[in-house]
Amino acid sequence: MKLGIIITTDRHLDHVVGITQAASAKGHDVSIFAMDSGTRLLAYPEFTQLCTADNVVMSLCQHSASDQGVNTEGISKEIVLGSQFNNAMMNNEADKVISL
Amino acid sequence: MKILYIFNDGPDEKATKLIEEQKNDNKVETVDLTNKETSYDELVDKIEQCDKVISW
Amino acid sequence: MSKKIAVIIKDRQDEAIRMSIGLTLMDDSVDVFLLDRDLVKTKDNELNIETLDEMDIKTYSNIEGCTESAYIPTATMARELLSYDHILPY
Repeated sequence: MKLGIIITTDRHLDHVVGITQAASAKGHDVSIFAMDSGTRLLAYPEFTQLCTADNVVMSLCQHSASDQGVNTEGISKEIVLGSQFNNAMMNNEADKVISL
Repeated sequence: MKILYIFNDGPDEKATKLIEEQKNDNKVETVDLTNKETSYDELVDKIEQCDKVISW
Repeated sequence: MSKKIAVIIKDRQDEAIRMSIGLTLMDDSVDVFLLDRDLVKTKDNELNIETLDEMDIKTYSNIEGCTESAYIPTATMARELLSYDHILPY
């Protein structure tokens, strides 16, 4: 399964990490897109480190990050500083999409 | 059709209105993420096995 | 393969609309559903609401007489949502 996760709030870090790790361990491909206040999760290493798994890709809406005052300097190159286009790609490719 | 609702912040009145209609012709399952005993392993399996997932 | 995507506006209307417009960028079909509410036009979202029309994103509400969206009963909305590949409450 290709699982898409749209993160629109910063309230569910534990679930983001738990679901991503569980899906990744089962061999599913996971794509994460953060926007709105979800971009605030960039401040948490537990979140940013998810991109180190081979079958997890991460991107975020840079416009949202800017709006939310999120510092994107120095974040892993594996995390794409993108736009709503990245969300569109994720939804187009994913078998299932959840939002957290 | 198997429909999975994931409640991120507990059960929701508006979602319940949709569920009441949908469960007439479908199998609807709900998972409440505010329940600390939720197994992420089991949740991923449910997401994979359902026809539609709606995280509310 | 193109997808059908439903966005359900819960509370954060402006971001939900911005996301809905963005979701069309891969030529997927996107529609917006409003449960117990209508779109509220403001100076900040006026352009995005006009863009919904331009991108052929239809908006539906279960409230009769809404000015910005077409009416469908709750039961129809509940059934119709299941025809979409992804259903994204926001």
